[in-house]
Amino acid sequence: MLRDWLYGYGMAATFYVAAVTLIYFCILFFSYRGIYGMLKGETYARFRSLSGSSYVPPVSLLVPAFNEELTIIDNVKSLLTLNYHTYEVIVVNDGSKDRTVEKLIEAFQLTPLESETVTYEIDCTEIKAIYHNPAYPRLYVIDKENGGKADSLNAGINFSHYPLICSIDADSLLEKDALIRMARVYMEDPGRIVAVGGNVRIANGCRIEDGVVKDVRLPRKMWPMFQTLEYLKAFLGGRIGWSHINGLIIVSGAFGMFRKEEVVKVGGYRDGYPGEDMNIIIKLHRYMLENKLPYKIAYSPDAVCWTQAPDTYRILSSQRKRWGRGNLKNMLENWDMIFRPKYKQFGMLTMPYNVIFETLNPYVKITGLLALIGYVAMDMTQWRVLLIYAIINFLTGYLMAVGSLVLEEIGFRRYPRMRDLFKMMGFSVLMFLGYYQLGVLWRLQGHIEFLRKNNTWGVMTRQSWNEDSATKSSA
Amino acid sequence: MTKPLEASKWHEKMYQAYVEQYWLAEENERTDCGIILVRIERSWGETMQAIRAIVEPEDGVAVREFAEADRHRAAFLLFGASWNRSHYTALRIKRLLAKMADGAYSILLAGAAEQAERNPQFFEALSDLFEQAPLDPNLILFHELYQSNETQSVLLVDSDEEVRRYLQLRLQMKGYRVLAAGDGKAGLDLFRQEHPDMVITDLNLSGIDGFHFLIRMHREDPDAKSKIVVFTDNREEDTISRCFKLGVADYITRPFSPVELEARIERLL
Repeated sequence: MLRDWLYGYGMAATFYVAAVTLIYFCILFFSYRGIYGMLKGETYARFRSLSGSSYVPPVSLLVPAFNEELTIIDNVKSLLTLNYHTYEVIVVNDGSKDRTVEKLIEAFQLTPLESETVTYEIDCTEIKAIYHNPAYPRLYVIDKENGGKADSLNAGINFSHYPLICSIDADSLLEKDALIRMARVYMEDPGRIVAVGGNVRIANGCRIEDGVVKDVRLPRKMWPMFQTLEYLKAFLGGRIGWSHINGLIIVSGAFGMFRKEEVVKVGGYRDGYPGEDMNIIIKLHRYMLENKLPYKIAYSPDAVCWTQAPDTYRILSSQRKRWGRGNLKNMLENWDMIFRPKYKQFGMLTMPYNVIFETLNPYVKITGLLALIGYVAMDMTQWRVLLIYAIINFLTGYLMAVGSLVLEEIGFRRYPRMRDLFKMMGFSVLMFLGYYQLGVLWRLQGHIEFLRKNNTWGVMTRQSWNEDSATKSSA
Repeated sequence: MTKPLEASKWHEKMYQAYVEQYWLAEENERTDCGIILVRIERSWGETMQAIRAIVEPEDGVAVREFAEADRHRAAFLLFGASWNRSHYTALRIKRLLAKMADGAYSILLAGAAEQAERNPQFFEALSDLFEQAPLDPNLILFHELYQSNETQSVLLVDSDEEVRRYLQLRLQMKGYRVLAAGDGKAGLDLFRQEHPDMVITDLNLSGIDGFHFLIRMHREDPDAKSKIVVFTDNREEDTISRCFKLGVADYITRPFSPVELEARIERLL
């Protein structure tokens, strides 16, 4: 009886793994097609000239800030010098407990702006004050009580003046061309595109001067290094492909552009829970599909945003647990979309994929481990079979990792040194020995937190950019 | 007592040596050349010995010496010495002279100007100027004297190096003194130091937001003594009107015609 059951499980698991591998490879294939399209488009695009064209729509950058006093000044300065003709930077202080607002007021000599009234199109906590200085015409600072990241974004949307909004994490740096590259993708199909995602890269290890990434290097520490590879794989190998079939489920909160009209129509960002960046995209898909409107959620791999990755186990695990919680919550809330033809490729492919291969992944892995113990205990297997399974599993996984590295090399070559390439290849192997397993564990812990109704954002600390580069260069 | 023929020979010799060195060197090896001129009124021989010890050829630097004992003057051409290095050497010589020559000396430092190999007048101007220089314990910097004449100065602020170099060359050929800065911060510093007659700036700068740059200049120079020309990709009408409100003299968009740009600059200066 148990034997039959184990046998059945083994078969199912084999199919499961085969299916997920197949999907991965399809997505990777689409990513290759996407990147070729991008490269071709790039050859003929004149970003410098485009950045001054009045055909490019103005953008409001929304920067929610909670306890960001260390990095906020540098980041705002860098955001004020983007290569884009008309945009505004709206920093939303989410009731920080440190001196975030005071620092901003000091650095930019801001004064309260009385002349402007905010219409509350979307719900958000009341805005206490708006600061501005005519000498920095692009900068606005909104001060409000603490209400969470989503709430801050909503406040920013309520205040914003322009038809496009772009959410940016306060701990991230945009490349000078990032916004115009993103806008180029938007302008390819302005009638249909409702959101464009950007490429998030990890800045740990890079040399940063005056809020500009001057020298791209791989991180020295282990945790950021793993994340660099993970991000490369997710953004290049994954999101380009998903966007190719219009099945993107997430636009990174660190850097994403949206059409304001639609965001307002779906009620803005959701409050009080992490995962707001995935949630807004699901809501957009749902709204557009239910109203049978043509739409597209695009991805712009050449619009680069540099972010600081957590470099300690504690903070990284906290972040991943939060993601696990957010993912589970979003899946439970949108359960009804799965396998509903009404929701087209999003309901038929993206959602099922996410539930089966992302959300349920830890349970498959754990039952798999138990079954393996069962096989060995009941003498149902030979070490050779196990070894072959392990090798096939490793090879396909490694091929995927290398596949995204190759994408990076043909599309971007941000890490030009041969040494870096070998280091990335080496670490891609090391990821199989612990990091992936930890990922499963964190996700599971996130689910447990969800069941315990843990609603918090978790620990997140910041390092100053300068300090970061100083310690890195002296190390 | 002056013998013009002799004097011209001195600078001609320098020019000749410079040209020889220039054409001997491979194209990619053509480097800077520091020029140090000294005049020593007392204890010529001894002092020259000491100076020679200082300017002895080092790695990468070839030294040519042109001494005229009867006129108590000597020229040292330091081929391959960067400006900083020549400056350092000159300062060491100056210290030595202060000790040995007891105030009766003058010393001048110059760097070979752009295209000096085609311009014998450069060396002539150099020696003429040195001829007129009084005995002075301080180091004379040639470029400060040379450029302080009536030429008008243009500050070029643009992050695109190609454009910067191209315009710099063209404007220099027109006879303007061109200062160039690659970002807003350097631009603002140069603006404060040099008070140029004209500023040509992009709006898309690094370091400082372009509008903020205009506002800062406007505040520091409310009477618009420096004419400001915005030269940018930004073709947005709002931006253009905003710039004119900030006291900008002209607004030129890219892609641009160099002829038009020059004509507009000439009209304003």
